[in-house]
Amino acid sequence: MTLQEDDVLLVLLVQSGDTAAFEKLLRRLHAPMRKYVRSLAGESSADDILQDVAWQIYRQIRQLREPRVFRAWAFRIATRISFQYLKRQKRWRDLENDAEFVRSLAVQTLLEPDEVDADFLSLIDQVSPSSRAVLLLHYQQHLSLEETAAILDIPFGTAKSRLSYGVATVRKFLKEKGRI
Amino acid sequence: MNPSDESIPAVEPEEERFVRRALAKAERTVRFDWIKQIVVMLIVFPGAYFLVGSAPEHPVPFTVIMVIGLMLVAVTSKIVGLINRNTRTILRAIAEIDRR
Repeated sequence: MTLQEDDVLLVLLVQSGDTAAFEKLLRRLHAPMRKYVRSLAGESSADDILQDVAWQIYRQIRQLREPRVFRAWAFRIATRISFQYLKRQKRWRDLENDAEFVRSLAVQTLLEPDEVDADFLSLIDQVSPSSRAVLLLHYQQHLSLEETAAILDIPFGTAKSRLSYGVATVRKFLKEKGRI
Repeated sequence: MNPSDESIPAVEPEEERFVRRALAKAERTVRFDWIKQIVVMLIVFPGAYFLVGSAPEHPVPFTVIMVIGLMLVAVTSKIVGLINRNTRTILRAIAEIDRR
C-alpha cells in the first residue's frame, strides 16, 4: 500500500471518529509540515502555527470529501495560518509589487529541484512570503508547480512567476554575499 | 496493516509534544461540542414547546415534547455511533487485507 493510500484509510478512520488514526496522521505530517512552517513563518511561531494547523485539521476533516488530497489540503491550511501569523506580526512583505526591486533582479531560468541546496534555502526568508511558499512547496516539499498552485489556490501562471521571482531574489542575495 | 495500531518507531520529543498537545486540544474540542449540543437542546426543546405546545389548538404537555425530543436525540446518536463503528471496522479490515 502506498503512503497516499494509507493516508486515505487514516483520513476515513478519523472521519468516523478514530482518535488513534488522528494521532498517526499527525505523526506522519509532523516532520514535513514542521520543516515547511519553520521556513515559511520562522522558528519562533512554528509551534503555535502547527498547533493551529492540527486543530483546524481536526475541526474540518469531516468536510474533506476527497481523502486522497489530504496532504495538499493540510498544506493549504498550514500556508493560510502561516500567512495570518506573518500579517499579525507585521512581517508580511510584498516585494513583487516593488517595481524598483523587481527591476533590479536579473532574468532567471528556473532551477531543477536537485539544483537547490542548503545555501539556497538558507536565504529563502529574503523572499516575500507568497513567493517563499511557492519555492518551499516546489523545492523543499518536491511538489509539482501544478500541485503548488492548487495548494495555494492561485493560477498556474502566477505560481510560475512567483517561483521565477523567488529564484531571482535568492540568487541576487547569494551574489551579494559572494556565494556565487 | 492496521493504520491506527501500527507500532511507532522512536519519536522525537518535538513530535511527541506536538502530538500530545494536539490530541489534548482535540479532546477539549469534543467535550466543548458535547456541552454545546446539550445547551442547544435545552434551548430548542422549550422553544419548540413554546411554539407548538402552548398553542390553544395543540395543547401538548411539556413533558411529552421533552421525552419525544430526548428519544429522538438518543436514537440519532445511537445510529450515528453504530454507523461510525461499522465504518471503522470495515476500514481496518481493508487495511488488514492490503497489508497481506
